[in-house]
Amino acid sequence: MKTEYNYNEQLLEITETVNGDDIEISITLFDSQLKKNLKKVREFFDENDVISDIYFYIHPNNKYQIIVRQDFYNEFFIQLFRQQLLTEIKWV
Amino acid sequence: MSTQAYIALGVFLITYAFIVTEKIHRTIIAMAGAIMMILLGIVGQEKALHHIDFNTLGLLTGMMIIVAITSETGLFKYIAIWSAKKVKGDPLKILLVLGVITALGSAFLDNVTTVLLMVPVTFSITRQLRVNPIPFLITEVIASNIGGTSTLIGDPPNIMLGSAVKELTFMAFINNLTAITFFILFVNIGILAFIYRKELKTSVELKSNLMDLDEKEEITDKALLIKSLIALTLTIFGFFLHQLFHIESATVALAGAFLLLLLTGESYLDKAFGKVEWTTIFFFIGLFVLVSGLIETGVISLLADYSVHLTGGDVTSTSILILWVSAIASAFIDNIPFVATMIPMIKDMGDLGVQNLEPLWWSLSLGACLGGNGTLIGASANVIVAGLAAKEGYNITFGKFLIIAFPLMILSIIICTIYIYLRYLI
Repeated sequence: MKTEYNYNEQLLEITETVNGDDIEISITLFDSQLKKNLKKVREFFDENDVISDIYFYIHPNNKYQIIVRQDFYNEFFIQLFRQQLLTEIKWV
Repeated sequence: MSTQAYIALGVFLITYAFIVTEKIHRTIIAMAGAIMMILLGIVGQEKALHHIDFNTLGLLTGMMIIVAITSETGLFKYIAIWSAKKVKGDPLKILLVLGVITALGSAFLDNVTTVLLMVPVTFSITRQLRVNPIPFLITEVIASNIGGTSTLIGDPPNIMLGSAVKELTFMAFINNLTAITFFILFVNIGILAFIYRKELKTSVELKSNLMDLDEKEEITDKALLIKSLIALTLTIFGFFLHQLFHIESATVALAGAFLLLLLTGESYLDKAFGKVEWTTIFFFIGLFVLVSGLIETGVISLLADYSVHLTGGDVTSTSILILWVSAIASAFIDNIPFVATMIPMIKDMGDLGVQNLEPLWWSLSLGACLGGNGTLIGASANVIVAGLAAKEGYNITFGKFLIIAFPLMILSIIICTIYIYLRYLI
């Protein structure tokens, strides 16, 4: 089952591209206050013992490139929601 | 040999066999063997305690605490990305740079800790560049074992040697081993870069993506980073000066660790102690007691006597023999119990008339540490990296590693043979 999500477009922007077995997600934060929320999402995946679940790349101007393995796709968005970076998430 | 000596040798060999087969965790087996030595009356508890080298244990514990806290800061990710950008995202140059960083890290930190810090960032960089991570991982494993050889604190055999022999100070290791090990490192990673050169290609677009990364954002806690760097710098400085102030290396490491805990506050205490590898610490305790059984019953003296007879007490042949036997043995078995047994044996050789023990100690260090590069099971760092890679879908098989690493290990030992001969034996 996949997830569908919504977020406040005034605060951030999320785009997705499928790249082989992975999904590349670009996140741009318009509010620097949200950096700590995204950091907590990264910490969540850093603390488990899977290295390739997500790869997290930080670019200048609050832009983030995250390569998410397909089997961690839902978990990633659930964590974004948990850290209040999404306003809504549902199973579709 | 007395009955007690036969019993001690029996307990030791059975324990050693279990350690080699890895059927039961090495710490449990070493401790069980040690307890048997006491229960069978080979050594009393008091005597056994005297044989436990608290300098080795203190040094390991202190450094583990410092690394546990420092690794929280994102420093290692920062260094890796910064270096990758410095070489313009070129995969071949990144392979060389990550190899050197791993070696430098391993010179001052435990090899396993260094590779555990390097592997995630290696996967991250290679994924970004869409290149195969295996060449990078194999290079890091080999670099880690070579880098660890270069200092007193880099690898457990060196820690044990530095602790057992007063003359082998931190500076003595720097003066005698650092230059040769870094020469061996450059030879090894140069050959690895040549072998893997065709696999290490990426697109201009992916390189520019990597160049756009902001490594400064990887530092998660600047205040903690400053405190960690202060403690780490003072500790390394302390190692350089420990002989001058007649302070043991364990005191330096523990002073650094508790200074850092003093600066960070008790919130880090439980976490730091939780990351100390108590299994390794108890493995050492078990081994020290096991070997004490052999020392107290005269088995080690007999072995030393036999070795001196074999080589006629000639320093040259004894050194070369120790170097090659240590290297081949360490490629297949754990080098820690091997070195624990060899140290009292070499000391006894001195008592039996071998005049110059210095080349023997350096031969043991070079052989035991570099020998670990021979096979996938030769060193803990190799096993850890292969395990992590397999979990991520990249299989570094025993054969694949052997084909690359064993000839490199033999080449390293040939270089060491020439070095030992030219520097100490003519």
